[in-house]
Amino acid sequence: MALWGEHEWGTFKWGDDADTPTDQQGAEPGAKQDTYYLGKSDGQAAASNFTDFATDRSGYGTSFVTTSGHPEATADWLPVFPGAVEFRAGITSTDTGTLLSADDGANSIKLVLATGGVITPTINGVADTNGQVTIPGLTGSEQRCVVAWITERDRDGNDDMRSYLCVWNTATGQFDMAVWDHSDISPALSGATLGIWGDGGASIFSGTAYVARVSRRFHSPTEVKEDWVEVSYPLNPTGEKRVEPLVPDRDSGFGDVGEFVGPPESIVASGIHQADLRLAGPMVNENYNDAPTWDSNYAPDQWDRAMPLNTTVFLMGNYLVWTPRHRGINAWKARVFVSAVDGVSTGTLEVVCVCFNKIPNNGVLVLNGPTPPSYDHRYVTQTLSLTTTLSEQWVDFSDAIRRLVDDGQGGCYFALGFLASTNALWNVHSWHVDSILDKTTNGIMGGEALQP
Amino acid sequence: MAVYYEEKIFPADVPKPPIGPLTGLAPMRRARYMSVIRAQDKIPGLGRRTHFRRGLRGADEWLAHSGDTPAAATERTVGRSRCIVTPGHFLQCVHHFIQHGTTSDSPAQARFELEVRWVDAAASAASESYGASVEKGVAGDEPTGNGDLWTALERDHLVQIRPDDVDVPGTLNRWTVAPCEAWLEWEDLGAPRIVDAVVYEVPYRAAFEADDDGSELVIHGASGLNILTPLTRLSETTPDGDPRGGSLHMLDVHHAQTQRLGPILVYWTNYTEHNTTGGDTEDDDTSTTSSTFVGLIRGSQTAYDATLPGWSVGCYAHDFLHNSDRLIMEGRNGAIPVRVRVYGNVTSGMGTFRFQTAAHSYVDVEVTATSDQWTDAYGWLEVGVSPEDQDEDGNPKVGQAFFKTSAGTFTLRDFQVEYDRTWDGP
Repeated sequence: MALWGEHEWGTFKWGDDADTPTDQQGAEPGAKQDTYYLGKSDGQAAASNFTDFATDRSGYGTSFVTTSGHPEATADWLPVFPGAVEFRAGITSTDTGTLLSADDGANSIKLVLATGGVITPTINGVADTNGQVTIPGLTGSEQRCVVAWITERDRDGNDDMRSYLCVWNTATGQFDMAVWDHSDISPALSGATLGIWGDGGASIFSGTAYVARVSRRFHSPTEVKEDWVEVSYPLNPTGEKRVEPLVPDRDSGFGDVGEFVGPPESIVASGIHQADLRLAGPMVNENYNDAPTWDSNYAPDQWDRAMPLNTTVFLMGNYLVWTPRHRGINAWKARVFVSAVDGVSTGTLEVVCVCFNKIPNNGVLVLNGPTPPSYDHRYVTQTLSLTTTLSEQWVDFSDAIRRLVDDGQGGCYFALGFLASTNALWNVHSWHVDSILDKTTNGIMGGEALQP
Repeated sequence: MAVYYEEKIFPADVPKPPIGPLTGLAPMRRARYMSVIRAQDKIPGLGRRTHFRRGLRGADEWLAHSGDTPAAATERTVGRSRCIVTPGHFLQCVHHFIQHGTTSDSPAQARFELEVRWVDAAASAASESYGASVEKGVAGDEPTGNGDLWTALERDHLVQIRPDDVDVPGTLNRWTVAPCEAWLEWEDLGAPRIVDAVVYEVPYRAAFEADDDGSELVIHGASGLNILTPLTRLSETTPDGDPRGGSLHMLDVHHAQTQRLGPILVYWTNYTEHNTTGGDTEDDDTSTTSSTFVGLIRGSQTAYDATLPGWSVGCYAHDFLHNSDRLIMEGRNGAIPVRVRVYGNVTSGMGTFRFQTAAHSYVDVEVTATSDQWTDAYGWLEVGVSPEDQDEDGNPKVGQAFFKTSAGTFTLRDFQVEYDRTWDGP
């Protein structure tokens, strides 16, 4: 069993090769800890000898010799499923050839491109048309594309595997995906041949090869998009965000006899800090399938009332909810999708979303519970200019977050209010209130900080 | 000129996970260890996930308005939900209502019933029914004075919506440890006027430890719940062979929590108070005969567009890590495993329901049932790193629903989107 010193960040390993240190892993762009084959060809034709084809960051092989079609009879780079195989290539509508080939004589997989950008996975010699997908938007001119075949275990247990074959045309921004279940695919780890951009025979990819990556774990389509298509901007939210670190499971040997006491506890503590809000979701999440048109008379008279402390605004009882709250959150953020009625609507419309702890002017509301607290509220507001041409938009209240006003029973009320000019006509299509943890608190511990 | 959306695979400054917490080689301190256990203990009980909501929801008229007098004893389905209950939790309902309407029978009645079918991990079901009369004052038209809805509003709740046998020794684990589903069906009888009602999860409230700080947050008192909540090891001869204060157990708990705990994102029924009449016995439906995707809500919409209405997918659960010691998306984006369930039917062929949160992020549910029933599918959805996250164009992360059918008519009444992960056990 490995000792602690081999379990440091950056060298920790999983699976069959858990005792093989790989301190180069992840040092280069494109490699991750789960990468065990990374080939960069810098835009060369697959049929030529590449000077910088295989930049192997896996640590398993050091003398990967590249040839046309690039087959290698070695276990070091073979795909393991669940896993991910990803390619970036320049492709035209007439390009053909093999992107991936792995064959141990008994079992095999292939990913084959045909004219028109049709990609078909083949498992043990049988083309699986359920997984067939066509790269959208291809023309006679070369366009950069990303192809990813990613697999996970079938969560329902009806089949062995679930595959997602994702294709992006990054020149046009188009995307398509095939999703299908199938039996296990497992070319043996010894004696098999891996082909990237070819199969060792005549079926060489005819387009321009850029990068290929073989990974040992599932990548969600979002992760593939982040790695290959478009990187999201780092978010700096007003409230907290959560980025969960690794917490190894017991199969890692992390807590085995012979290991030090302490690291598992410390790293679990780190994980808790980032996993404490996993159960939190939207408190109000409405997307109305039928949205009546409102005017400056608001809802029926008996349904609306002046907003306490802001009496020019009318709260509408048909947008009144009580919601339980996640006990770890202390704030909220709202957005409303509002449209103005085309051709007739003019003037201004103030939209208000308010959180409060009791129904105003009703002191005996609760039949089975304690006396409600004194009325308190927090709200956000935004004023729209309506025009006679169709106008619809998300009202985001400048992304403001507000403190949540608890009713003492584990929840709070939310309502929408409006102040409309005479000719305003509008519809409310969506209304969201999201759970937020304000940064000024100390997480769920509320001052009981985790001991370092 | 071609637009290459991104040429760089990774930024140069890839952040490393923190190494500080790993500096060990210090004497064991009980306080440090206990603080971790306490924090871990709280996480499952913090939830309060919403399974179902109904009410006025933007309507402009009551079903039971003047001139519409539904039968007093006819059940009228308002909506359904079907979710896996957070381990250790059961349900309760808080509802707000006003004076009920007149019914065609005498005496008038205003009542709702919540039919709950509990399905355990072995797909063995137990059905329970919970009901409440929501009656106030004299049946008839609602009061019409300015703001009378607000002053007439009453609140009540149904608690302990849970299997009848949950208190029988030995049966609690059946409903709380292994994944257990709650199938809800909300039925109105007569003429209730429910302004808002929500069915949500609460912990079972078992707390056997003297130092539990707040029994409402604690679910570990019951035998067998220890997968999601830690136990203090008092002996070195523990059953799992973990003699050093529970390190292995602590790792198991965290593994199970991150696999099994996540949000319910969307709970939706097509019921609209103002489009329903007293003679209806089923909630409204939305249908399509289109062979290409059209919006469930907005039929003119044919493709995902974050600038248009949708549902929030704001949450804090992200699968950044998947048995890897490397941040997958470096805190820039997040995706979660989900299960999408739809209740509906297709007259022939196959109906496809799509829930989508980005151009490259959707789950399709393929429906072939010719009578109304639940059909589900799983997949992955992009949700961002926090509820405040936006896409590259500054639009909110929203979920939108589309449907189409290969033949016939695809009819849909309800759908749900919840966090999904197969539990691989301790």
